[in-house]
Amino acid sequence: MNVRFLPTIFFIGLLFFVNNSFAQVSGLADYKIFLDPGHAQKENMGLYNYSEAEKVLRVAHELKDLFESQTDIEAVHLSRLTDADQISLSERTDLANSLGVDFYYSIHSDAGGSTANSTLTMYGGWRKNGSTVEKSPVGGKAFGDLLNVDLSGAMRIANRGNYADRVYYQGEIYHHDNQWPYLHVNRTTNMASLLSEGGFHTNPTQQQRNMNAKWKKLEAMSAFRSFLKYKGIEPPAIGVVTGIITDEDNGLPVNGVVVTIGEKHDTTDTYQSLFKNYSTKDGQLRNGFYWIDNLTPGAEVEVIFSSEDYLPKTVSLTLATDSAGWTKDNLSFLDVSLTSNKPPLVESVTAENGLGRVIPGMDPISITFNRTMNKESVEQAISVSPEVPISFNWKDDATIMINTDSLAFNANYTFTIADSTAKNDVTGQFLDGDNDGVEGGAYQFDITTSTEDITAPQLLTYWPNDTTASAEIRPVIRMVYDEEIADESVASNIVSVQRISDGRYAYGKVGHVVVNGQSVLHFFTTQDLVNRETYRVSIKAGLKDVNGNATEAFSFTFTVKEEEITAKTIIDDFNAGVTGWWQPQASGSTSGIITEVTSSGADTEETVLSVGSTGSMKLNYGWDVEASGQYIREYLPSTADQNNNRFGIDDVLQMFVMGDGSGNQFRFMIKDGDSKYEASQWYTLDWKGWKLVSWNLSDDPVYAWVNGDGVLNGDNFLVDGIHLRYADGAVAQGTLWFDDLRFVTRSAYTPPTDVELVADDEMISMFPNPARSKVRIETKENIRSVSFYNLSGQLTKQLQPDSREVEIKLNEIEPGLYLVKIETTKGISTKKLNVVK
Amino acid sequence: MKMKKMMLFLGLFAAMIDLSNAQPVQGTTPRKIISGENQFFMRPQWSPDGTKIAFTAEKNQGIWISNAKGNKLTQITDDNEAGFGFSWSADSKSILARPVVQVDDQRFHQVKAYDIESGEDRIIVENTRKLQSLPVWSNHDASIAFLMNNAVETRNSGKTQVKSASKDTPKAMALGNALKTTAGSETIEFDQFKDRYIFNVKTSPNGQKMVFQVNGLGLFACNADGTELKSLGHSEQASWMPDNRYIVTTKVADNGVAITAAELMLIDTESGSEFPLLSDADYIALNPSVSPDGAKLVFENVKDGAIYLMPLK
Repeated sequence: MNVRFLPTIFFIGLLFFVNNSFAQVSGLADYKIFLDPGHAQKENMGLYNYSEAEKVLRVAHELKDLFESQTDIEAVHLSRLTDADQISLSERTDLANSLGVDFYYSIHSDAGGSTANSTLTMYGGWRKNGSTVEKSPVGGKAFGDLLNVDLSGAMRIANRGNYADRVYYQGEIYHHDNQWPYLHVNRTTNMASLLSEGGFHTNPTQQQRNMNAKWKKLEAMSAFRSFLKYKGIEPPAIGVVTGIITDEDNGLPVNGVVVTIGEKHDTTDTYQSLFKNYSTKDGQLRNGFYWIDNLTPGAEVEVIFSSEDYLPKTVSLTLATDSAGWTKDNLSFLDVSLTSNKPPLVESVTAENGLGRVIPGMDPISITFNRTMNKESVEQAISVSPEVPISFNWKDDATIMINTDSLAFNANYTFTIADSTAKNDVTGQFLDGDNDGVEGGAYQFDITTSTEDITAPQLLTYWPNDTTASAEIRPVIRMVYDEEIADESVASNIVSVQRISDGRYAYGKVGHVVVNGQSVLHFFTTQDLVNRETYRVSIKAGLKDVNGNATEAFSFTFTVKEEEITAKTIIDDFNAGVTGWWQPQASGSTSGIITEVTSSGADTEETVLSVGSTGSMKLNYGWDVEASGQYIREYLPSTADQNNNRFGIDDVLQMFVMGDGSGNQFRFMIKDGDSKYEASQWYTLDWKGWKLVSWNLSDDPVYAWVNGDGVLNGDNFLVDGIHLRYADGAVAQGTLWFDDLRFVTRSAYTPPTDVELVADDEMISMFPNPARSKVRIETKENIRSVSFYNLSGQLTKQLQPDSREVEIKLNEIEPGLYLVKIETTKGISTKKLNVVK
Repeated sequence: MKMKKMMLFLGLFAAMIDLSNAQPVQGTTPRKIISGENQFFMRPQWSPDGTKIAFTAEKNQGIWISNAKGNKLTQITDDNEAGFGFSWSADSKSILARPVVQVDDQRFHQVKAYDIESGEDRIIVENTRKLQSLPVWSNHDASIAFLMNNAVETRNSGKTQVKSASKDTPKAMALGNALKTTAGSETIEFDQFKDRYIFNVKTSPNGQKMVFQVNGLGLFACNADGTELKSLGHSEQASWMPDNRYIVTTKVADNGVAITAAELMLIDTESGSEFPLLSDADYIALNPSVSPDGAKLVFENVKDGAIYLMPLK
């Protein structure tokens, strides 16, 4: 392929065009096909408020046109005609069966995470005694074998394969219980059938292409040619040039480029021509897709690309043609990148806490250009007044980060990008600093640095506390600070929890997580506390912020007041990962998100140690705040294994939620015994750190969703998922974690009748004493814990041996007298130990 | 006095309105009457005399007969696709169907009449790719009609005409957006359904009304001559009650992969009013068939592949 830059349009001598009268393809004279665009109206909403149903309807119309205009086929029937039509699965198959057609082709697109994109085809089939069986009459598999390869080639995306539908959904086992197809359209159609998934409407790149009218021609073309080959008919020769036009600087698809071949034109979609229907932001959506057909197969052509904002480009090529080959072998793919003719601009200048409060040494200043820049020229161009030495890092080819280490606190600075110095990396055009449309002009911006941080981290909130008792016997105690704490200052024994009545310490582990710039300390109790008892939480001094400011010691108390749990059933502990749950984008109910930053998945970093958790579900979300109706449905299908755990009206549904303090809202969604969708109240995410959220199904409010009625009926409830929505003024992007989804049965508190046991002191030996480097403890019972307290009462060392003897190293313990509290299964014994060095 | 009369009149009037809006029959708890191990039965249909039920199995393959209680199962044919769109003869002795035979990679339709007593079948139309409709009984069972070459064609059924005082009920067959009936050559064309298809046409017992579905638009009712067309919303697979006014339908919900719910409804074809007959998550109820006396109905339950009987009260 010869690529040349031409300033003017010339040379059309080698162009030949065919007219629109196609040679008829024969061989289908008495053949009837039923095309079924899946779903209806705006069902299965994809990204940008463009649904699967809308897309596949147009693919079906294009395919019908191809059959009717290019073949002698007797009839092409469509299950639905317009976006307003409503038709059930049974109506589709009843109609096809009534018409007595020869083939049923169901057209779909797929849903999943934002990066998934591939084709998939499924024919009616199952496994029988180790072999895969296709339904009778056969034909779906043969068509699928061709289509799944052809469609992925034409769409230039991955291919997941052609499957017997029951194998795809229920696995390639030796023998399926149900010896019939899985999908309704395969199962109840009398004729050969196939269902195809043409890419993902949840993939941003794919979905922006899906919106293009001629993209549907491409998918229809692939299905058309594959079907002809399936019927043993050689597809007609075609002449098509198609491709994606991108910006050479940033690689993004370009809107509004006119593509010309002789007298034929196509223009890539623009905000005005298309995207305004799906976005309020000009420039947000782009696909760069063009398609020019009805050219002479094999001809030499010149393809001219022109746009007001880009340098023109002309490419010569010979049109591909291989009638017997795949569709991709008959499409002349021509992807081009165009070079902007506009000088670069500063797109944005930002700092973590704003330009009015830059923290020296902490917050770099970020300058983003709208085009890739020559790095050396940009660094040369940037100066600061008053003058201080500055250094740089590049985030990418268009974003420079100015380090602020040398800036003074509480000062004002002016940064300047000098006139005609910083230039574009591709064309060498200078920065248009004054934004007048031509090169040149300096760019300036001011910043103010913050006052110096000399304040230690402040404890903002803690839970449980004097006024809010712990309703859980094994609480996750959380303490939220006003700033980030240096992780190295969070020692494993920085927090201790002591029962006030007897001084006994609670077992637990300390965790630290930074949520939206604020540190949360967790104390995960790892053994049940005693109900109705009061505990003191002590936080040692020495927690430091990133500037080294250290906290004083602090303590608070709380009481445990739990309604006892008499039964607990885990629905999903996420310890084995996240399985069964859909990606947020896969649900048609999800809308108004920034898909690139929205995802769900497994996490092992943030877990609720109180329940011994080793895994959680992490949900990243990003709201498009200018869209209407921001909503995420994190869906758990009723067929998921987790939903073998059914619950009822007497239960309490619970889940630990790591709040981000964003002000967004989430709720539980369940299906009751009548298969109606019923929801909990919306819980506002106004906390940071782990919190157990409970929905008492008998006492708390119930809200209807979709077919629900706001009443929990029947039994055998199941979890449908977790819903999240944006609240006005809330944070637009964040991460939540979920752990230990379960239901419990509670009963009123019953005071204990037994008394605390005291260990038989004679049965416990501790030696040597005095001890220098180690001490050994032996008992006849299992040792649950050993705690060392100095004479000030501070816990200095604690361990849980879970054995009858233990040897404890004393090298980190200062010399002196200690009280050693030894708890065995028989009770507690306290002994004195003299540590010498 | 005048005021009292007025109040009495208004009360009676209100009662009449209330009665006219009342649900004429109620559903009751369904009872499973036909099931089989590794079998999925569907599309039950009462015989006109109410003594038998015909039904098919997975893939619409074959036709079975049982008595009214779901006992004494007999398979009268194993023909492919015979179970889709079959119909009883007026004398309840034969079933008409459109089986398919596959020759190489081509499908050919047949029209066959099955004698349920002898088990013999009679081929009415040999292998063809020209058939445009499901076949229907005509002329008091003496003829069989179907659409071919865009016209109604008839064949001798081989049965003797049923001696009946009642007038022969004309049957309608769909051809695109039009209906053609066995009563005459006139075509009833519905311009508002241009490019669409009419299907699942059901004629009322007295032959004066029809209900049918149109793809994308739902269920419609009209007089036998096509007049007084009325939309009945999105229900399907209608079966007439003997009063020629009400129909039992199913209201289907799906997720694009499978049917997730199907509730039985009673619909007044005159007012369009709907009354639920069966709305229970244990049932995905399809293909209801009302018994000739209107006292009960049968339906297929997609959840377990069994046929259920539901008395109406």
